[in-house]
Amino acid sequence: MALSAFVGEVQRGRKADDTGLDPQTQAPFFAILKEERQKHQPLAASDTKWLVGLTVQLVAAIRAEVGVVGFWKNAHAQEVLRGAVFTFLDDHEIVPFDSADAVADRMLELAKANHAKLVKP
Amino acid sequence: MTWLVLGDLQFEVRRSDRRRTLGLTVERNGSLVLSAPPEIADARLERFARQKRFWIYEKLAAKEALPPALPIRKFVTGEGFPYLGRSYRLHLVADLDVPVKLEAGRFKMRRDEAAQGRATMVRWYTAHAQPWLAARVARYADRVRVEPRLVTVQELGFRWGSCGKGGRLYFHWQSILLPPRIVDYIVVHELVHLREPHHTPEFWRTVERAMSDWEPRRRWLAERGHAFMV
Repeated sequence: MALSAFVGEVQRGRKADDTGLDPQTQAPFFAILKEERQKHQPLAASDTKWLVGLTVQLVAAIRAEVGVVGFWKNAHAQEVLRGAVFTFLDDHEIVPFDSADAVADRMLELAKANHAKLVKP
Repeated sequence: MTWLVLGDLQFEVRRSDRRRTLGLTVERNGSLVLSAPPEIADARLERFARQKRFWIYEKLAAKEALPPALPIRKFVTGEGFPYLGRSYRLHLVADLDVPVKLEAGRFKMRRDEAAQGRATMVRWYTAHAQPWLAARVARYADRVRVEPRLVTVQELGFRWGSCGKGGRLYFHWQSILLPPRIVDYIVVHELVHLREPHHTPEFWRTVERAMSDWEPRRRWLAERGHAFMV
């Protein structure tokens, strides 16, 4: 019984929250960035707004790249994007330098999993 | 030793008290081993082997498709020795400050070392593999989010790498003969083992997260890795 409620919740998917981010495309990236940042410091309300803005920029950059045909078969293109994400994370000091590599990997993993949603016009 | 012959296939039958099920192995040299609990009748063994014939022929054919192992290397001037995916020629010289060194695109070896040439080369490979692999391990450790404690290079039999207790990583000295991108795959594979001991779907997902094109590298290693054995 409890499970059926949960299944329904999973099937409905992520709902819009008060950040104003698109629940299909942007919110999953925001969730990871938030989680990773909170590992090192608490997230204040003003930080949330700042992180939302950065998420929008980051997802726009990722969408522009993964939309190219054959992107996930092109190891070099993926490495270039990973480098760009790494630089973005470091420039804005979203996460500490030491964990930026691993977080960039998570961003690309998520982009690959959500590819269909991200390239939908 | 008991044998079971079935057409052109010959099986060595090994019975053991500890065995609970029937098992069939195609060994590295192409010989066939049938393992069984002691009480299983010969007729049952034969039926089992007969059922598995197609699988056996498939495995044997796959073995034949592999390039043949390289002939034993001789320690004479002009012989090629691989290092990080490239082949370098050996040059025997009369006088040298160390037993062997890589200089100007050649392995130079003192002539009096040639008799125990293999041991000398293994020492050289091991010594050079250690810092190289340690640097690669350090580079990928952050991405896999593990903290390896010790990188050891040694003889590991038929394995390229292995993962021990307490964050210890072991690599076969022969892994340094492979191209760097393949060695990187071995490094990532072992690092992920520090998090996931078994080859579960989560294991491969973690490998993919750190190395998106691990699959062609893995295939390359399976198909061509053994040609780099010295």
